[in-house]
Amino acid sequence: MSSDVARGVYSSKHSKSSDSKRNLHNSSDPVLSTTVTLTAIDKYAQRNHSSKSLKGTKEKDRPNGKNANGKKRKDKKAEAQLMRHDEKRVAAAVMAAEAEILETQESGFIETESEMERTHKLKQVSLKPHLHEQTSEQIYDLNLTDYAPYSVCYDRPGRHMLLTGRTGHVAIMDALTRTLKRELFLTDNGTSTNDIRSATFLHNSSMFALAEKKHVFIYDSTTGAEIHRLNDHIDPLCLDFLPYHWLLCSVGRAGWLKYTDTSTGTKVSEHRTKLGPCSVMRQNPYNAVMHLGHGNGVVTMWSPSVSQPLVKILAHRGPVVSLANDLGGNYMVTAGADMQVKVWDVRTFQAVHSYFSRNAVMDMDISQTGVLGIGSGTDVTFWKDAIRVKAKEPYMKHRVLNGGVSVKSTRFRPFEDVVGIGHSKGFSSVVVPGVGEANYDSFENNMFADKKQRQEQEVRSLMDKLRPEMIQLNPEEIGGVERDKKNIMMEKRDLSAAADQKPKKEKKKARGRNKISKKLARKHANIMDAGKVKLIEKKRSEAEATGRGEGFMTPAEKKRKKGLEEGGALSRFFK
Amino acid sequence: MKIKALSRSIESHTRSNSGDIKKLSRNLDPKHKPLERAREYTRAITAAKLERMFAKPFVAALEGHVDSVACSAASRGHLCPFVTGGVDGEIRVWDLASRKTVWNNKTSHTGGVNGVCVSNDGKTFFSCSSDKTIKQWPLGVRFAGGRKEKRKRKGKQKGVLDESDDEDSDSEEEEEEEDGKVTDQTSSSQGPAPLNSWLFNDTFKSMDHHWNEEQFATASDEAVQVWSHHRSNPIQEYNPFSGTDSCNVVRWNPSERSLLAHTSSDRGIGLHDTRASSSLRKTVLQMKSNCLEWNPMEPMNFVVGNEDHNCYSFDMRKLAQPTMVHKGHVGAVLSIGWSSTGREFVTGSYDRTIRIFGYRSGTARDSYYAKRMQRVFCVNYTADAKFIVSGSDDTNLRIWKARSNEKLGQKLVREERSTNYRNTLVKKFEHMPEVRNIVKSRNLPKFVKKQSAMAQIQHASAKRKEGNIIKHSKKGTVEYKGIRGKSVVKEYE
Repeated sequence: MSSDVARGVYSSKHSKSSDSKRNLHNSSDPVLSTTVTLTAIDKYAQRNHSSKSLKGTKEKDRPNGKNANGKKRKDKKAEAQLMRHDEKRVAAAVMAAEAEILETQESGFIETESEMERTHKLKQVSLKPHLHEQTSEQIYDLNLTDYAPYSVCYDRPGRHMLLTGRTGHVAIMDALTRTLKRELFLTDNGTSTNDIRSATFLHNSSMFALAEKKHVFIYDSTTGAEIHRLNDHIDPLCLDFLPYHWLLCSVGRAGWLKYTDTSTGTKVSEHRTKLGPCSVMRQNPYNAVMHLGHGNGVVTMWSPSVSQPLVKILAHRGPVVSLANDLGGNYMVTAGADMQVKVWDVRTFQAVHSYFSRNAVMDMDISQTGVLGIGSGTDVTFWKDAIRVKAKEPYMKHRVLNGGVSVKSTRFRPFEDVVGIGHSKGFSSVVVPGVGEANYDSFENNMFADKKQRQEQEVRSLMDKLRPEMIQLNPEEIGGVERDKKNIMMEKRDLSAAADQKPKKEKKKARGRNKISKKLARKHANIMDAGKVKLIEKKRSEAEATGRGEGFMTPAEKKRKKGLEEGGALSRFFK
Repeated sequence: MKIKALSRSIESHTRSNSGDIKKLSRNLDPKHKPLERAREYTRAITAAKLERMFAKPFVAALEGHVDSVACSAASRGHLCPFVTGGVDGEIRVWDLASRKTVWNNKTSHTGGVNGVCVSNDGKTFFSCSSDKTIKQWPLGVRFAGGRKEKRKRKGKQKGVLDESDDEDSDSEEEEEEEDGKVTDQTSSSQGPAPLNSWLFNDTFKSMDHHWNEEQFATASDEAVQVWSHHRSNPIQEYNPFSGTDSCNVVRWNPSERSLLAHTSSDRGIGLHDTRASSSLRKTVLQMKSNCLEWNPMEPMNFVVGNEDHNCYSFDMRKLAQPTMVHKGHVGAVLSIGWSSTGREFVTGSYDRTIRIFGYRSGTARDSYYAKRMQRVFCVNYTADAKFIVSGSDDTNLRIWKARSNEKLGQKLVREERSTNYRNTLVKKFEHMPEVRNIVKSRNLPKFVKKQSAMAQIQHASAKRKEGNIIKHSKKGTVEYKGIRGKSVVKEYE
């Protein structure tokens, strides 16, 4: 994938010449006019996720002139068209990468000046003086004990914040100006307490949905009026909203996953998970697939159009407590009651690595830049680069109100270096430099949108509303070439046949050419690892020291020399 | 420790005055634009629907002729003048911009006008008829296509201007009156006299003017003649491949000065070099070709419209088989007009429809029809490739948009940009069934629909039969021939 590509330089002029477009990776040209890094271009060019199921699709085949079914493409016209399409794609990627210089903001960071400094030792109090006045104002605590514990939720541009106290307090705040927009107290008849399990904004901050004791309710943010009661969603525990499909999803105590289209108000589909009550649900923003964490340690992934889970993973020994997806859709992080935090590659469905948590994890979130925030006990810890590789220590740590509270929810505020923490004594906002995306796109998430722009955005997003059937694991397949069903079947059969085959048992020969030690030696003869190189160097230097500098040779070198000296027909192999 | 955190103020990201442009920020990272492909696909479907919604190709019907419009010609150098000839011998000159007749002559010929063409300088036009005459007429009337053009012409056109053009500096109102007068005058029974006329011993079927020189060619029953403006007799006469029946159509090649193509009623298509005395080549199709036009941008290629409902694209260097067969009509193709871009041509047919074909596509991009439109005898593109003019049996001339959903007039920059975006999206997803079905759906008259369904059945049947013949004959004795292979019967060198 793109990240593995060695950092090189790429000339924009070069890219427009005819032959180099195919192989981005080969064309690191040192002669440059405008330079952008190869990785930067790759970011824009490689839209197609490479997953296991995608083996041999067009992207991969195109350079070989093969079609979707792996056969050689005879149609020269089609081939030329694909070539042109590819060229355009790369040219667009180069232009997008070049346009990066127009981005006005740079993301935040903490740089240590000596080895002894530790970023996770940095407290909010000591961080505050370093910050811009406006950012430092984002470090604050709200003491709200009456309706606690609180959970927090941000809208997509990160401008508004929805604070929900479990027993019936809802507050909508402007997170940027820190002003209260509306406050609601949802208690039954003013006497008994309510039970708000989950909350989410809908397509924008003008409406939000609450999962209450019996049903899901939709409220208006400005007036606080109840707009709808969704009778279908019974006893919900978890809510999420798919903004591009306009689907509100809930899952509850009965284990039914329900999708409602909020633009038409119709129920789109409901699936029985058959895995009991479910209180962990997060969407994968890359493909809009819903990830559910269940009580038996299983994580399931759902699309509204398929009544079975698309994927089932046994993630933990014990209930899944929390789950988070990264923005690119490549990784999922799960936390279980078995005190494990596991990172999963969603392309291969394999666990990449896992962490042990001393306290039970309450909530997790992944920021836009890939920082993992884990709320457990009284602390929230932030882990940078903890997803791709196994991190040794956290990036930052925050003990809420100096202990004495239990953290309920942790959410990164989009496009800001701010984290909202809901806990048993109210709400805290902290600043963690480098967690927010520095540049927002006004046409996608405009936090400074005026009324007109908001209206425009709403209409446009309604016009571009995606159909529920379009939710699938690989969203890039839409509009692509359907592969021959026969070929897919054959491939599957081959794979299963290969898997079913019994592994060949090795004979345990004790002597002769194939005895195990010799086999191993043969196997490792051509492998040069660091230890071997070191050994050779050592031997060579020893030989030099004893005056036989030229005399020492590795077995391979000896063989080559012998071959060259002896000549004959086989000597050509030794050059 | 060095620390930096993001900080955005409302002041720096919003405009200060309502008159300012709104401040925008872009981030092109695909990570922040999830489901882009699905969204594009959804937009493509919307774009396809919009395209069909705005598809209103009909612009205007021009009334005036009292009998069928048989032939038409547009000026090669100017946008507005358009000449039509009727089967009753009437000739009309139209100003396409104002959609009015600016000149007419009811008694220009005693027989039907079979061919009209505008001279290479655009100052005069010629007509030929079945009454065995050719006549030259002035094209010096004023057109609404802008006064600049008129002024320019004034200087150049001294010799052939009629009186009304001399009063160029008059006020607009007076000019309008003048226009009215012109029509009144000309609709009198006598009619204006031709500049020149040629009498011949044979009826004429078609004529075409040379692209650069003062020559024109005619197709008559016996042969093809080449005429000069200044001679009373044909300067050359060809009887191509002796024994040929009458010639239907003759057309000059746009770039080769001495190359002529013609079709004849013995189903042949022939090429002549006027420098040599004999014909160059000839190829015979299965049925008679009714029309022939050279591609103006790729002048080695030409298209013929055939009686068998198809059009055939030929490369003049390889007449052994057509480069493309354009199918779709359910009646004989009677007329062809090339777009000046050389990428598209329009066909008029006996099935009462007009179709637009891409120069390399086997099926029509679009087909137009009107409730009262009858057999289409002549079609032309205007020189800007934006409009199509068709003349039909119902005595009307019709103006159509070449792109049915295109907005006429000036467009805003944003409008243009969004239109381009929509078009690109439709093109990107055109192979998807949902988009394709929307883009290709046409409500055609019942007759056409039925006929094309029948043609499909016939085609399938013929194909099946051919397959059966091959299957049951000795291997190698019968070979599969595609439609291109079958279309040419014989080729003469």
